[in-house]
Amino acid sequence: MIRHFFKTAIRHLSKHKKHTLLNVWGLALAIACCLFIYTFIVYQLGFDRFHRQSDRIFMVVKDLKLEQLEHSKGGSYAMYTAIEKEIPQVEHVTLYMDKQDLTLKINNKLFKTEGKAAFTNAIYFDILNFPWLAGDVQQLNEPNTVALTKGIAERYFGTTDAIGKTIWVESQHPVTVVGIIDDSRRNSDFRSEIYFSLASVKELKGIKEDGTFSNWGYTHTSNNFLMSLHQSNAKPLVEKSLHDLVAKYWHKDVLEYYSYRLLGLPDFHFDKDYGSGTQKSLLLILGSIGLGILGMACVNYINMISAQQLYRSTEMGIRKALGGTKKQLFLQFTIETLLLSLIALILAWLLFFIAFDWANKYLFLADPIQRIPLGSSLIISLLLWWGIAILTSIYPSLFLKQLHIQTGIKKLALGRWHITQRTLVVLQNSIALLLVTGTIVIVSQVRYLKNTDKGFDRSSVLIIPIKSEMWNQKEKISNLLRENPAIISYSFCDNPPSYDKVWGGTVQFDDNAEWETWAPRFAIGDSSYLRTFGIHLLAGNNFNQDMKNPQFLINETMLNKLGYTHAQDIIGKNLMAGGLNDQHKGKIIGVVADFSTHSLNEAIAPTVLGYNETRFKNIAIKYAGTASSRLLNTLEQQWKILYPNEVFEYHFYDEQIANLYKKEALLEKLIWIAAMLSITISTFGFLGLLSIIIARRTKEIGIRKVLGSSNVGIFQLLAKDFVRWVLIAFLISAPIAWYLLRKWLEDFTYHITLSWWMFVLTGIIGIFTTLLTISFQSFKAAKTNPVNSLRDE
Amino acid sequence: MIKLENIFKWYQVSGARSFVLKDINLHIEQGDFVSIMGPSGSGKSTLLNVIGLLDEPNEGKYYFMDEDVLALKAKKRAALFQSHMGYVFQSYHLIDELTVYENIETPLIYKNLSSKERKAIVADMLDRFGIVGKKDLFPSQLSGGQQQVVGIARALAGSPKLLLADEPTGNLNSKQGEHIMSLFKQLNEEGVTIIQVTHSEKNAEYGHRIVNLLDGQLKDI
Repeated sequence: MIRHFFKTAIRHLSKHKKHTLLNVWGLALAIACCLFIYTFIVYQLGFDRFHRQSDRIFMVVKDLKLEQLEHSKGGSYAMYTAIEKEIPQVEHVTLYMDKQDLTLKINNKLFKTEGKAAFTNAIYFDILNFPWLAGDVQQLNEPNTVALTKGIAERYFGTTDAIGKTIWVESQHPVTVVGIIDDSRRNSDFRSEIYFSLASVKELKGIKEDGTFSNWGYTHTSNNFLMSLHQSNAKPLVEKSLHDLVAKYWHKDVLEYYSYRLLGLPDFHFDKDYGSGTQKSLLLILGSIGLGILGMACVNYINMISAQQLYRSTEMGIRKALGGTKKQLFLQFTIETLLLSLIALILAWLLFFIAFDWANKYLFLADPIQRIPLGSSLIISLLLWWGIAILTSIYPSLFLKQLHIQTGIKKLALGRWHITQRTLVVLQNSIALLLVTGTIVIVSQVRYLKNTDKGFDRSSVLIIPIKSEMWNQKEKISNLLRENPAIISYSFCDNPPSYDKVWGGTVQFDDNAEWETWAPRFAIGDSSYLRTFGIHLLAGNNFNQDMKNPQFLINETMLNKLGYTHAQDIIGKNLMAGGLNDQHKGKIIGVVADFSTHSLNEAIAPTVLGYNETRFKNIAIKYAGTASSRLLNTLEQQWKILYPNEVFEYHFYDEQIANLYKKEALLEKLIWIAAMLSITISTFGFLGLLSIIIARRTKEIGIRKVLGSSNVGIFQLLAKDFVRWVLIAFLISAPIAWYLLRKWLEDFTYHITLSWWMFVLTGIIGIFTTLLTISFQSFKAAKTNPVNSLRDE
Repeated sequence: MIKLENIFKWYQVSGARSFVLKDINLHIEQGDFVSIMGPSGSGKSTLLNVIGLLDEPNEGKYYFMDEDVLALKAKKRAALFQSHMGYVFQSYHLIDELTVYENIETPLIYKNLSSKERKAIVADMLDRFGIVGKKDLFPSQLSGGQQQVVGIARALAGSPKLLLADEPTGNLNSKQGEHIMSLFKQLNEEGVTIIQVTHSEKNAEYGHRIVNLLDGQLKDI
């Protein structure tokens, strides 16, 4: 019996090739989309959960208690050694100094580590699960050693067999490769590619004996303390011990400002305050989109089946007349569905593999996602397969229940199915239109974020990062830049406006006894800073470059925050800016218009501009017009003469700003793809439906033509229904879209306002694609000779 | 074999009952060959469908082999249908996706016969109706007459005691029609009870008995 059903199913599917193709492709696209989203979500949720005792691994984070809590991570070397010695509940602790930028020389070739280097010791590998493929982990406790991941070893040496080879750090210090690390696990926020031994940090980074290793105040955000506890419930105890240590070795007053916490390692990935702040809502949105798209494909399938009733009802009627029971007929439908969804599933896997590689190449770039293990992907495939089969069998079973042999055989069994069908089509299109509106709004918002300059000018600016030891040639660089006619202005600075890392510190204003309880942000540069970035000076003068008699500019927000409304009133007041210039009190000598120091995800903060040459990390160059490539060539030549052991590195400022909105840009791309997919699937649905509607109305079309209707008239007749469905779908989706997107936009400090054209555009896109989809078939139907369609059997 | 008592069948049309069958009393013996005749819309097909369990009357009693059919549960009724009745349609109603062989096999599959039994029966049917050479063809590759022969073979595959035929020659030319009718006659002689609905006097002559139907009522039996 089963064999018979299979045979019939295969013949049926191949007979209605067009519908089968539309169904298979629709389902395959949807399943591939689900597989992809599932992989993405599993990958994201799996961050740092694969370590042996991930529930017992913690890191130290701290809160600075000002008017607002300022969250940060990291601490000082001294604190690390104290934790190691004095907290018994801690099983292992390591200092993991990540995101290090060094220049390496290997076989006379220069490489930048691009933040992929770190300093740590062997304990790190006890805590985190990154297995060594070769070498002895203990050797990483020795000075002048380094362990590389497999990928990096291949890149640097062309082989993974790199043990014992030498890398020159900054062309001065030779270090020996002592280990090769497996890099097949990538979903960790505490992963580097190049691990230098912590014992050599002093030599490799050229740290002077100034307290870095002994002073508790020398904290740094890249000084991560990773620890595993004997028992995870010892967390509060360890937190208390941390505070005790601070009081004992540093100063008890510190605890008035700072409080310390342990953050579970797996929580880091989603933590907004201390961690990488991956939005769980993004995963939720993606999950819903995946299910929505799968639902759309199922709707297509159900619709196609129900519409095929025209042909099927006769067949089913005959089968019943031949003695087939409902169960047997249902089994036939189910086998057909299982077969079709199996084909779709196989195709989906192919699509998924292609999409996966494509996405890692173009979509996720910096952090490619990883495939999930075969076992769980098979399980999810099986679930999808049966889920679809069950979902899509519901309708036929209802249909069979109602089917009377009599009416079936006479092709009268059209019943009430088209009511359900209409609802489903409208629902499906509502989802598609929702995604279209979402795309329009999200794209607009991301564009806005990326391209809006609040109070500064990004155009034609190059940023060249400079390491501290390179400043000895500062005069020479200055001369070169000054002589170049293509350069309008240049500024040695720390952070350009709209930067990901921004310093801040509290201030003491106007010789007040108390320091302010809030911390303004610092924009640190030389006196060309304003000119290079196009910041407007509203009152007063530009600051000087004298660290002994510091002069500061403040922005309008800071002016107001200090309780002033007129710039003139504040000019000349004293200001002590902790962190910007710790030695000397300075004067406010001017006020600038507000400009953003961060990404637009944060409101403009009170800001102090000042000079501190020890903080400079970049040269910002404003060049004339479009001469960037020639300018870059010239600069690179000159650079190589000045710094033979350095790689010439530069960024275009506007690209650097765009990089601040990576998460939003990713969402933008994903929603784009989702919208395209959903439109494609609903197009498939329309194509299938239309062909069936035409088949059903062939006679009517013939009669209408005989009665004198034109081709256009017939087209209108056919198009009317579809356009009506899309319009109803639009009316349903518009308010939902408006509500959801308004909520989404509210999370942004700076956002666009929803406007009517976004919705009108959605409607136009919906109607246009619909008409485009149905035009070919409809005109073909309209042009058929009525003599053929009216001929009876 | 068949006993119909006071069978009524009506449709509710805007509040009033429109009768399709009105007080039908009919008795058919085993081995009979009955032709039901009457003008279009007189209720012939409905009567046939009631007898064939494809339709239910609104009122009345129906005994099939002394069993009160209308009192049976749907499952039991289906079983009764499967084992005792074969149906032949005017427009053949072969399943387009299946070959001649598979079409004949289908009712046997629904009866849950083993593949060996099915093979034997289908081979026998093909042989008996002289269509062995056509067994791998699809319905669309056959003429109307040939399709109807397959339809009859299919109806008889389950070796029913009663063959119901709704205008079996309605879509055929006269020569094909004659062939089908002589086939019926032969089957009847072999012991199959046959009830056919027909328009044609000539075809009706093949039967032993003619039942005339007018506006849902029987006229002098």
